[in-house]
Amino acid sequence: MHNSEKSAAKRKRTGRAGRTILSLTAVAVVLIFLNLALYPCTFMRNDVHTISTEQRDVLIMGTSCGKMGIDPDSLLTGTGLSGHNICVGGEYPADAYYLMELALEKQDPKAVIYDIDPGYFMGKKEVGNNYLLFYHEFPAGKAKLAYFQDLLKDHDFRTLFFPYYEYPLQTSLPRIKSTLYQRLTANYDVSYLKGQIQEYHENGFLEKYPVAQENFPAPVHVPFAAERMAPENMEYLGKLIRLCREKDIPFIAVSMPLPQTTLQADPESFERAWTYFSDYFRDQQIPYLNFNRELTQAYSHREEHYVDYDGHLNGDSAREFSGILGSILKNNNMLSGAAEKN
Amino acid sequence: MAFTSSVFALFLIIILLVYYLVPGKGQWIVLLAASYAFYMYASVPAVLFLLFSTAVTFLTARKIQQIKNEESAASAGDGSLPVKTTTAQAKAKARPYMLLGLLADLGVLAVLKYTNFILQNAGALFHTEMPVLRLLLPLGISYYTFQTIGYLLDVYWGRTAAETNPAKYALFVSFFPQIVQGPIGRYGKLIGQLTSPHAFAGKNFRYGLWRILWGVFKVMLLSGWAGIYREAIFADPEAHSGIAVFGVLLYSVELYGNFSGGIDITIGIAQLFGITLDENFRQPFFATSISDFWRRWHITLGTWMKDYVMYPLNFSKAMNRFGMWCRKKFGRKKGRLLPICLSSIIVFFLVGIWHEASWNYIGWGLYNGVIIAFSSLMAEPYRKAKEKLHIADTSKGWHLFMILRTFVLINLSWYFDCVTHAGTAFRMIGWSFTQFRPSQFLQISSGKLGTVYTPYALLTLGLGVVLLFVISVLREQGTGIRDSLSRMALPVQIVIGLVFLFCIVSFSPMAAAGGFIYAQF
Repeated sequence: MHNSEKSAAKRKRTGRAGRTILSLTAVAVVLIFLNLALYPCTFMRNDVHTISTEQRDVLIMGTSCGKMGIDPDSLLTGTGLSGHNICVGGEYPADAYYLMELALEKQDPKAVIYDIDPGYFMGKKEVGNNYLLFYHEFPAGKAKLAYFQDLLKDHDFRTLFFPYYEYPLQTSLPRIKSTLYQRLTANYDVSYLKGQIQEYHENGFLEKYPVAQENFPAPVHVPFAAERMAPENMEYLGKLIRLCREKDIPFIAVSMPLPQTTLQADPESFERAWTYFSDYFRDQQIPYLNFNRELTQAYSHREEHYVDYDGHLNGDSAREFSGILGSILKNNNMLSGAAEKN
Repeated sequence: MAFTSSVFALFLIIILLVYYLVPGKGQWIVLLAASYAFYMYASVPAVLFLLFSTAVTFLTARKIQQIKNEESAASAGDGSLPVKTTTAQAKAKARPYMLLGLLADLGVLAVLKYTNFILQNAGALFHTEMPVLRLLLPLGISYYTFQTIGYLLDVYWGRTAAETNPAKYALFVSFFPQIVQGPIGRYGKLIGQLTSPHAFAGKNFRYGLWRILWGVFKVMLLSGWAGIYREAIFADPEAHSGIAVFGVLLYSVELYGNFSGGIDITIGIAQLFGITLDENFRQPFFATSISDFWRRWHITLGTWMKDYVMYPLNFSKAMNRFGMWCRKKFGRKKGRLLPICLSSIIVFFLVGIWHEASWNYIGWGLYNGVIIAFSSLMAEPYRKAKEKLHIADTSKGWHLFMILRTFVLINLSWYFDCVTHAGTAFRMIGWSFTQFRPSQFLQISSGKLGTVYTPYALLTLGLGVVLLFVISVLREQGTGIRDSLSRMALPVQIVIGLVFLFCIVSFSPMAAAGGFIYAQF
């Protein structure tokens, strides 16, 4: 082959490779833009940002009842401790474990309060949204990699590459402008998270506005049976407790008060659940504050405190309850270790 | 590692990078390592079965080749024997090794796949409790066993020379895109492609990506949505009696979308590596008869059965004797047809039991076999009837009728696929003709999105099916869709690809990435 032919062939090859690289880059840019624009900024974005950038002494973990029921400021009044509520609906023990790993990577938490909702221990975590809620907000690091390796790798490719798929277009499209603005300017202003039925606070507490009982939605009750529990939930709860123990972080389990109608609807199931967790935490030597059995008198179960039958407290009641919970913790020196460390 | 999972996407990207970065001579080693890594991700103990099957067929094929070489060397040396006699002698000497290989290879499949079925039936027969053994069913065993058997028989029959490199042969058996659910590959067609160097080719890459995208569309959007509604209908047939007919139609979409989509992804992935796999589908719902359907659906299983079961069976001594007996008893014409009918029934019995060790599948296989056998026997009366009625085979109306008739026959058998009791299937078939209340769809929840989303999800599914139909018609007419796309300007191709990808991502069900139905066989 002549030199001119050789160089022409080389030019052709380079051109082809260039076109391929250019095409792939163009595709990647469009896909990144779609993720930026269509993946909404949720309060979990703020929560994860807070715990990975600022020191918080007490972390409150668990499910939606904890998110709407524990206000860290009311809880820790007079203790000199700071706190953040990183509960969320769909937070399973596995998520809590990796959130704790993340917190330990970035700061030095001194105590953990864990909201135990027995219903969450019955089923496996649903594929999709609830994972994305956490994973995509995690900053790059060991915890993010471990979370992917452990829980996400077998989910469909959209989970990793197109997280916006879990949010209906009719809700994400109208928000494009503010989503892009918040993401591109790294804006974590909580005013974006204020809605008509709830308000998110900087300490992670989600304040629900009161709802009349006649407007309560139908309850979602999952009957409890120890033999039908998904084993991975207890496995991760155990891992979380061990992690806290290794780092000398006090761990306190709490079962949030439930409305009386709910408790009366299936008392046997609740009794089985409370017995199971009481036994478990006794074996683990973990303090367990159950506001539906041992501490049932500590807070009212009247429906007027709630926004539904599932046990989500309204804002004022949540602050009141948090104060009571804080007093119990203080009176029993449960946070003394955290205060000493501080 | 499902093909639609995040981890597989990452795995594929890494393997592709390594594959095109290493020198051409080493590319097949990358594929072999990737294939075993892929397999071990699913199950480490299962690799032992894969290795066993590979080793047994490799060694027995080598021995057969050695015998053949020695025989031909000996006859070439003294020249005393004619070639045919030498081949016959070599075959006779090699036969025990071929049988040993077959027995060991098939034996593993038979033990792992059929032991519990046999125990269960023996228990029922003798009214005794039989234990259910916890047996491992290695990923893709039905597929790679057929590939290895095909290779062994090809060497025995002299269609191909035995492979000398065990690692290259191991790649042929374990090539990761096709081990999950086929297509069942042939050694002669694959080994050269798998082991020769491949330079990066943009056209191949684009074609591969288009094929993958099309497969993902079928698996996630079509099969995903169809599966949700089909499952709800068959889970509570009484409550959905008004849409029973849609239940089976949705199953057609689900099964075809899942299997052919999975194969599209497989072929597309192989194409990214510069490897062309055999096609497994050719618009099966445009088939004009059941036998035509089987030439269009799971093509590689059909051709495998034809080459390695049907032909040997038809030319076997036993079948010859049966043929002679039939000719004596029923005359020349029918006597010639009856052995073919019998072998069709035997082949489809095997097709049924290959899918799953259950009476459902045996019944389904026999249903297909009996229809094909009956059609062969009735070919002459049909021809005469058509002549009397002045029906031309080439008329469009007749062609359409044949397509519809085949579609109905196929769907009738699929009612039994989706239920545990035959009685339910018969009841649902009855409702399909007597009840029609499409509004019952609105009671079915669209997964996490609830019943509110159901009309939109059905619209999405409907549009998807229309797109599939249009593409199928174009392909049936011989239009090369990817060729047409590749003639467009690159930016236009990118925009079309991105819009299509966006639609798949946004409009597929939220929990769409189930496994492949055919991977369980």
